[in-house]
Amino acid sequence: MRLIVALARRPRGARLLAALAPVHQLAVGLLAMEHYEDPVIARELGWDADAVAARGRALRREEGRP
Amino acid sequence: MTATGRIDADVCIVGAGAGGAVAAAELAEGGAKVVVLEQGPHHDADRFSARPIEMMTALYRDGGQGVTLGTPPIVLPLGRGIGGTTLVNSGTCFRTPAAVLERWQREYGLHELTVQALDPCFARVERALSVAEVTPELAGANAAVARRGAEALGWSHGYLRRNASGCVGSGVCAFGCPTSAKQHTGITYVPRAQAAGAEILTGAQVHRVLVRDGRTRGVQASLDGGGGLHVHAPEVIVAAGTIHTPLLLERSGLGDSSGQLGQNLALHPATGAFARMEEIVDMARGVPQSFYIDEFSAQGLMFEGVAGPPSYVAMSLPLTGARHAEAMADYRRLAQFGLMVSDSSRGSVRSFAGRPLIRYDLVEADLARFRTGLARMRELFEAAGAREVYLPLPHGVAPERARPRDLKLMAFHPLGTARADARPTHGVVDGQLRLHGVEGLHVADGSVVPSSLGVNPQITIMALATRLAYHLLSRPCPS
Repeated sequence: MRLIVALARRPRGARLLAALAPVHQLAVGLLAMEHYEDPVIARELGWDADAVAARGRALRREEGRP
Repeated sequence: MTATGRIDADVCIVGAGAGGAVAAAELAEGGAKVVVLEQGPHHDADRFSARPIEMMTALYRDGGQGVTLGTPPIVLPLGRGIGGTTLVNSGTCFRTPAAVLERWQREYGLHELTVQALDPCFARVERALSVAEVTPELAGANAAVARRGAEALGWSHGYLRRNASGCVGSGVCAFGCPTSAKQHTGITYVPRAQAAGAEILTGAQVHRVLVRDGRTRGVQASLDGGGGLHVHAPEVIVAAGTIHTPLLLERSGLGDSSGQLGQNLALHPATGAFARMEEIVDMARGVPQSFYIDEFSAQGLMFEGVAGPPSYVAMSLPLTGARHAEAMADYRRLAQFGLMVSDSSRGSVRSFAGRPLIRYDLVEADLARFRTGLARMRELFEAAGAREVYLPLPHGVAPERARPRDLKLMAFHPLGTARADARPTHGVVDGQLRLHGVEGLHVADGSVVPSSLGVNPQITIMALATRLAYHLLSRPCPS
């Protein structure tokens, strides 16, 4: 997965992936995913992963879950 | 969790997912000396970050991007590690439908697998996993959209039963539950097995099941840290999952006298549609898979909720360029729902350079199901008041004209590659999940399930594993 993303970021790599339709589709999807995983962009859309994870940790500790 | 050399046990179990973990706990609590060999790692919930891309890399095989070969290629995500796919599934729990059990009796001679016979096993699993129906409040606004559409159309629907306890609707079931509310086998059955004395080894690659004179002797494995391992055990349960179990049996030269090993792969090919609503949905607030519509289940169509954070939506949204960016800017008003097909298509799994090669082509009947299902999804969202509906098809392609290559599919719930059939000439294991022709070798994962279920299979697999454990303990499953 990381290899595909790394290839898709480079012009030559992107040209190579464009020749393989399903892999190209995957690469485009992964790049989009990576873009919206940026905390600043995600927070603008109402999603704060750090807050969700922190709440989870706090609840686990509070309720003694693994 | 490391070891080298030789271990003696009563039962060696390969895999700590839905089947292996359940069998391990029941057998260990029943007094058996159990060793579990799991290829993947133990996942620490403290590391669950609620970031899909990071978690897919950590929790899934091949980063969740395993793909079938065929038309169309289908992404088949599988969990890896303690808990197996139960760690990353949506937690939906359906018992095996009665009609499916009747079919197994009729077509595969599995007369012992009746609703009554399995009832105590299901009840035991449901208690262990705290299975309960999702409340409307916890289901969130994404489910409310689907419910509104289903009610307007008069379609049969309901809230799903899930294995969760103390869930607060974090919205990332598929990426590691940060509250450990989802009762996956890694935090339920595995600790029970360990408390009862079972030894759980992670990073263990099982090379072969050892059989001599028609009798199981144990397994040969190696450990990630280096060194070989022989587990000597008169009983072995292979629970490596539908994709990897046939490969292990093939490597061991076992299970293929019927020619069925690695064949009969059934999947639930699936896809999802999006809609842009007037109201704020915030689809990741609430349980992603909390609501279902079974109006068309007799036609092989099941609709179930699906949702996730922006990065997950960005990958799934069937738009490109400026349209994609524009829809993503309105993420808070996006709703999503999923379509799952009970397939007639059958695929196969074989080994290629030591890795599974999965062949699966969508047959015409399943293509017709997707065409119908996508048209129904448009109806559903329109009835719910959607401003725009985004079907997973190329721009300008109507559902009724969709070709296989137009479909953007994922698949879940692989089953059937070591199917149970009472006849040794037709199946790999018998109704007791014992490999035909070999004493002491059993299979307990999705591979034994002989047909598509039409519903999520996790507790079917767990109930079958429970039944196997009590069979090996020579006791009835407590009711």
